[in-house]
Amino acid sequence: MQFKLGRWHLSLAIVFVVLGFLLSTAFATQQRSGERPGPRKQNLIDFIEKQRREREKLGSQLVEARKNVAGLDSARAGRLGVLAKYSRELESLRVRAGLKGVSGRGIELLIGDAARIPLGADPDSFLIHDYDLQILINALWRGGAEAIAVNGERFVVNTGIRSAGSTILINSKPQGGPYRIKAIGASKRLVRTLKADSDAALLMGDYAQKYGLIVKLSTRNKVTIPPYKGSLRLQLLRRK
Amino acid sequence: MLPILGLLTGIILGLLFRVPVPAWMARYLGIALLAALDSALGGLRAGLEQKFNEKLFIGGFLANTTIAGLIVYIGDNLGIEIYLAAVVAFGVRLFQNLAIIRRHYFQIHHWE
Repeated sequence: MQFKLGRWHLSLAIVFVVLGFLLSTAFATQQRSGERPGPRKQNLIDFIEKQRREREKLGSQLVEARKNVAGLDSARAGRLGVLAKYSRELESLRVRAGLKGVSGRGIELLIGDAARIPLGADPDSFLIHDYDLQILINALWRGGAEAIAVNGERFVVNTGIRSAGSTILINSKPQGGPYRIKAIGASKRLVRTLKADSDAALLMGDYAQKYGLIVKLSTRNKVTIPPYKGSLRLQLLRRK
Repeated sequence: MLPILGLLTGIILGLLFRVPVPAWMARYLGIALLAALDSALGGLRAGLEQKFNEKLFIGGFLANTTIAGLIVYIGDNLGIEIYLAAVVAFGVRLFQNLAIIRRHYFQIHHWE
């Protein structure tokens, strides 16, 4: 009896070894796959947020530093007299390059996604895309805009509008809708060009009505556009 | 005592070796685990009923795990979650076996 009991215990024990092995392996696997993504994802989100804040901080420091440099330049030039002409030229170049905040007559155009997307409809039609902004900005340039900013991002020589996933990057910074486009220029001409541009007119007219896009165009006596908050450093460019 | 010792040995082995299991194999592992659990409890029950057959037991264990794995594979390829059938079947048997084992222990110890 004792021997018989031992025998069936033995084979049972072998299966239990396998069972235990599977149990701990499954447990370890579950721990690994169930636990890691959460904190990892959160870490990445935190990291991105931190970097974004850091960039904002550096951006405003840069603007401050540029302002100081410009101030020092003109103070120095005023003393030296002869340099005053160059200083003024430098100043106007800074304005043109987008390194100084500017204000003037112009327009403000608010454009945004539809408030709700009906079930089953193609959501693309109800959203503002990078190409929509490109159409509008290009029309504004054509209308003689002298300075443009979208959501406070000043347009400079190397500004691009491109989509990245579900957001639009302007000056490589993700922007969320609604997009507030500010342009300094002859307001009537800007409005006229916007309406004359077939794509822009379609977007702001028929599409906006059909899909419920937000479109608010207004002329302003004073539009304020902030300076460019990014780097303009050229590393590979050489004078021809 | 020996089965419990075996269980502990297995758990320790698994923790020691930490076999990396790819994500797609996780489901097979789960089914294999259920099959093993079912066989183990079935064996325990048979042992308590004094009708333990070694060949039947080991054979059943191997067949159960293999067929369960096969079912998962077929289900994955057909897009039907047949593995749920295996989960339910093993699950039901598991509880039945547990109940019977409990009853046997009650009888052995005259707790009734």
